[in-house]
Amino acid sequence: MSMRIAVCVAAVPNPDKVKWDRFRQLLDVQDAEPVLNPADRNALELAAQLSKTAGSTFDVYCAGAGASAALREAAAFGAQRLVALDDAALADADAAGVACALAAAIGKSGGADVVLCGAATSSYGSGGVPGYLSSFLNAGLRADAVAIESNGDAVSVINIAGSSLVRSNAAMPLVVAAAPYGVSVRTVSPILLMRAAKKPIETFGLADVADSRQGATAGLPSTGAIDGPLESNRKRRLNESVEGPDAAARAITLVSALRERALV
Amino acid sequence: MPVTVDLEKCVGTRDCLNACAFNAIDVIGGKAVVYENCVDCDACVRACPTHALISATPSEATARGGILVADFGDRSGIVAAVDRAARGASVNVSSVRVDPTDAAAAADAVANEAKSSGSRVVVLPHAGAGPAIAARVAATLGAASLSGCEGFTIDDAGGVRATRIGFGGIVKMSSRTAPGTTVITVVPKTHAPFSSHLIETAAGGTVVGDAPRTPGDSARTIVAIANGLPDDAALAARGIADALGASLLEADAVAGKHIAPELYIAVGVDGSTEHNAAVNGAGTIVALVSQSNAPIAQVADYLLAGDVDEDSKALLSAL
Repeated sequence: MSMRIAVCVAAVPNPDKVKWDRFRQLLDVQDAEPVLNPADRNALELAAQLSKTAGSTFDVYCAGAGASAALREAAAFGAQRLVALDDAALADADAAGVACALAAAIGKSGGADVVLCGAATSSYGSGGVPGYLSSFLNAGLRADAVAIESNGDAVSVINIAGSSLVRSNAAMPLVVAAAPYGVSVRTVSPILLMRAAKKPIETFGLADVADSRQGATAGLPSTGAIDGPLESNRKRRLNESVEGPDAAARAITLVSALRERALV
Repeated sequence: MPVTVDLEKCVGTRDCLNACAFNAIDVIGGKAVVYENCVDCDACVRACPTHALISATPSEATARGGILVADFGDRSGIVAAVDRAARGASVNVSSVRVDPTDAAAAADAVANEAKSSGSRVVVLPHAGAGPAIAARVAATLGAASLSGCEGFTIDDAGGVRATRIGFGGIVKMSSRTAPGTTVITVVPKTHAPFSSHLIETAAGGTVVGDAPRTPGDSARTIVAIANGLPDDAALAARGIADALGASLLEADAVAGKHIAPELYIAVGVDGSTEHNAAVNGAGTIVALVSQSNAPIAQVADYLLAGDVDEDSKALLSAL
């Protein structure tokens, strides 16, 4: 039987378009359309590598709003099936809740031998989903992975452990969190993206996939509730424009200022 | 009564000095000296890699109801945040070290240690395998979790209150958990080590190389160049980096990371929201750009707006 590989991805507001509105003191995500979470590309790359060595395919799962946009981009990495979980209960779900829903969806599809995830989302990025998934799926866990390949009845994973890269064999089922850096991700061509746009997305609600699990709450205490308004995290800066008659004069002025502050 | 120093074991690493929040310790002639204003908080005792510092009031190795720190190496950089929280709540800190290669085995070992010690707060670094291991520990313990905290306090009722950052560093927010066990991950800051005992796990594995470095993770000065910068300007930027002993990297590489050098010089980088959030922790930001209204102008301390090629060459000459 071929290896069953699943990838869990997230949709996040486009990180390039998220802004802090300093007049209204609000996080402005109005123009930030949902996109594939950047760190999840590393997981998709590892899935593509693993499926090649295992001679199998991989399916992609995404929970929450904006799933279809993220799944379209994920499909361009060569995914076989695209599964979206769309349910109002997921809007306020924390990492445990999302992981619980994803675990139920994977279980409903017959389970997986290897589940790959990105390190964390670029929005509230807890990085907790892989850990919760491993617990809910009774699977092993490897984190900070930069390479993975099939090795008969096991998978061989190279992950970052301190200052070293370590290769080890891991039994299945296994959840793998891709490292946020150190993975060479392929460039997806526009043709592949166009083909991916035609791929069907299977959409389920929580009621369709829930078995023994309790909705999207996982029955665990909540991850920390935000109990105040969001604030800008921007430092106060000097905002000095360095002026001068020519480039040489401006450079000398700048270097003097930096020397005064013992920075050069 | 102050902490005492075992002069035979002390090798003058200065880790104690970095860990002390009270300026109560110094290193003179290669040996630690503890002054009378020491409050015996034991931050230095935990930081010392050679176990040369001896607490005046030795606590149990594992503190019941206190904080358990699970670390992967000896340089996680979360000691200051943990010590502040421990002092604020008057609880003890114990620490263990685990091999993160097999994250499941590491998480199970940490959960067992937390159970046996009755620790009510378990802290891991928000780096590498930390968040994934923390989530599995929380699931095993049936605990609440808080991730990516910059600092935290333990309230009288036993809940945890923390400041976290989101959206790549654009926003910060305060979060809290209800009383009970909480597992949190703390963003590493200062690089003072914990002195901790290793819990052996059957991780196995073979070292196959050096880990890739987080872009600019420990550099004091970083020179960042824009993708597609003209060759002359890129060459000058490399020269600036060489002259300053700085790390050179492409600006795109910092997106989604948090870097905090003392000096960050961006050459030809307009500065996307994600980039600007990533470098928010830098001490001083210098931007060489062609347009004065580039987004990076909002976060720059010093802005040189003009011909990037000429400005970068002139800066190199001035250095």
